Amino acid sequence: MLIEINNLTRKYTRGQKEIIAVNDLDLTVDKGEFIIIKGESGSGKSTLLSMLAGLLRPTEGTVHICGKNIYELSDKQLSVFRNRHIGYIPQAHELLSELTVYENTLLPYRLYEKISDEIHERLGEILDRFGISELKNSYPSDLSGGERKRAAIARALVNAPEVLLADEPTSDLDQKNTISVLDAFTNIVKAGTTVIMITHEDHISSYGDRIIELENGKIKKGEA
Amino acid sequence: MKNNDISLTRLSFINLKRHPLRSGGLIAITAVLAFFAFGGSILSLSLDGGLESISTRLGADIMVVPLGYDKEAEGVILRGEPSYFYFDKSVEKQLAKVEGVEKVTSQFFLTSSNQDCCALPVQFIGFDPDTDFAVQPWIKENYSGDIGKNSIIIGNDIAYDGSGSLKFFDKEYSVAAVLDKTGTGFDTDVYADLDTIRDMFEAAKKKGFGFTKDIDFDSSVSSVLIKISDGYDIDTVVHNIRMNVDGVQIIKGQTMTSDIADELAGFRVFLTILLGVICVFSVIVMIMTFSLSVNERKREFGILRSLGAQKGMIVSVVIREALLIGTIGGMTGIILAAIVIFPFNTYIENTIQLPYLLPDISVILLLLFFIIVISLIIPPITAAYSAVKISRAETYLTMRDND
Repeated sequence: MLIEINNLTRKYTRGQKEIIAVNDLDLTVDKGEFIIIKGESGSGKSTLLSMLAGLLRPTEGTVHICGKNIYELSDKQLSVFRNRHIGYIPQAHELLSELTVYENTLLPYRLYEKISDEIHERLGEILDRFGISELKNSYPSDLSGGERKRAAIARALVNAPEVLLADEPTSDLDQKNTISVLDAFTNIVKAGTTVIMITHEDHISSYGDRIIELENGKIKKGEA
Repeated sequence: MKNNDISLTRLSFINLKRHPLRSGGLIAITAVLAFFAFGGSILSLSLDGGLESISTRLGADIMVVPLGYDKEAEGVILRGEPSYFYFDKSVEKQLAKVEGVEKVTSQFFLTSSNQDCCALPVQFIGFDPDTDFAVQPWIKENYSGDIGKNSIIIGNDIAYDGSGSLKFFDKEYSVAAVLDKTGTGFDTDVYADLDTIRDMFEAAKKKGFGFTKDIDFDSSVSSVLIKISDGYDIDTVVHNIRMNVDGVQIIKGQTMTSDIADELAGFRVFLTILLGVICVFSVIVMIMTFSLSVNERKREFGILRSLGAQKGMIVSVVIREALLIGTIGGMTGIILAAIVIFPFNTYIENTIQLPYLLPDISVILLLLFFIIVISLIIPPITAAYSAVKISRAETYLTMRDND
């Protein structure tokens, strides 16, 4: 078991009102699984994913990844853990606009490591795999939506993480780019990486090993 | 091929480049702060230096000159305006007898013509080596030998080519020493013993200098310097002089320096208020600007956090940016202040009409270091609050804020 979530709850306060975005949720995920999380807007999908990424502290409950309770780690430990073990693809505005594709994808590595021939080689392979090596000196504003998504996926994979968390990576993409992204995820999963992807598009659910549907912060359908 | 490496410092550079107007504004504010801090401090220290020079070089508690010549005497000392005035030498003896007077020594003033060595007339001050207690102690700082006949000691501003002599009234006088700069009227003075001055006086007489016509050198003096006895109050001695000696003007050394000190205090208050206002204004503008900038970059910091950047790295990106602003702004301000202050040193000295002596290079370097440190510290301090605040926010919520 790679990921274990127990009694995970996240509450927000909006004005006087308390909103429970994720409500006492339990979930386990094995290594190499491709999990698809579905649900309507406000069902708690993105909140759940960000808590898995260590980006949002739960109100209650625990998240264990690779055997570590990530919210018991210090900020430094959690940041390093996230950098080494988790690839996160946010829903929008994935890339830093002033950096080239190459610089954007290199960024996670450079946070803790010095530049080397090895990383240039590895990054070259990743960019090739996603068909964006010719765009490495381009800026995000020069890319199509699909190219930007692929660059964000390449960046998430540069440190070869065990877990890839993707928040609606195919939204705003045409069919061709959607298939290209999903094929990429399938290949990543085959290589042993666990992928947890949020989507609200029914037709791509078939790509996942397991589909979990959320409603009001709880699992409505799917095996926990 | 573009640069294929990326670092936190580069992110800071990129942000500065991305907002040239904002970055330029912050750099300009830091430059203004450094300009006034460095320039104002140099100015203030130079005026202090000039004041200290006067206290040291006057060497007497009281200066007595002919009645009505106090302004001329102050002009000689403070502003280097050559002058001459005489009264009877017997005054020296009268003053020596006044209660509370410990020592007296007289001086004889003379001015050169502008056809001599220098473009402008020079002040000659003749002293009596046997009784002098005011001039010789600090001459010894530059010259340890005896000042024989036809030898002169010259102030730092006298035009001298190092040839060993200067010509006055068509006669060569050997230059025994050049004095250190004082930033006062003393810098344009030429000192010599009474025999040498008598020689100059006679030469001036031969050349037809009008003022020498009715003056008998041996029975005339220009000023009498007084050192008061221990246990006596200067005002008491001044009162005693007034009661016993007629036809003289009394100048208290203390008063001369305290008048300047008063002017300096006023200047210092103005400078402090100006610096304070600039400092407060700069800090407020910087805090607001960094807060706006950090707020605008929530998404960027959110992405960095999601990639594994620690809170400290986010703070570091903002602080590096502030340090870059401090470095560029601070250096610009200091260089501009140096360009204004150092090359125009003489102009400033002439304009303010106050004793003005630049501090030692070691003091200037220390001040330079201090201002650079201040310039480097203020921008990061003003940026720190916003940087720490953004780094502590929940990353996911921060990223959503910009959506």
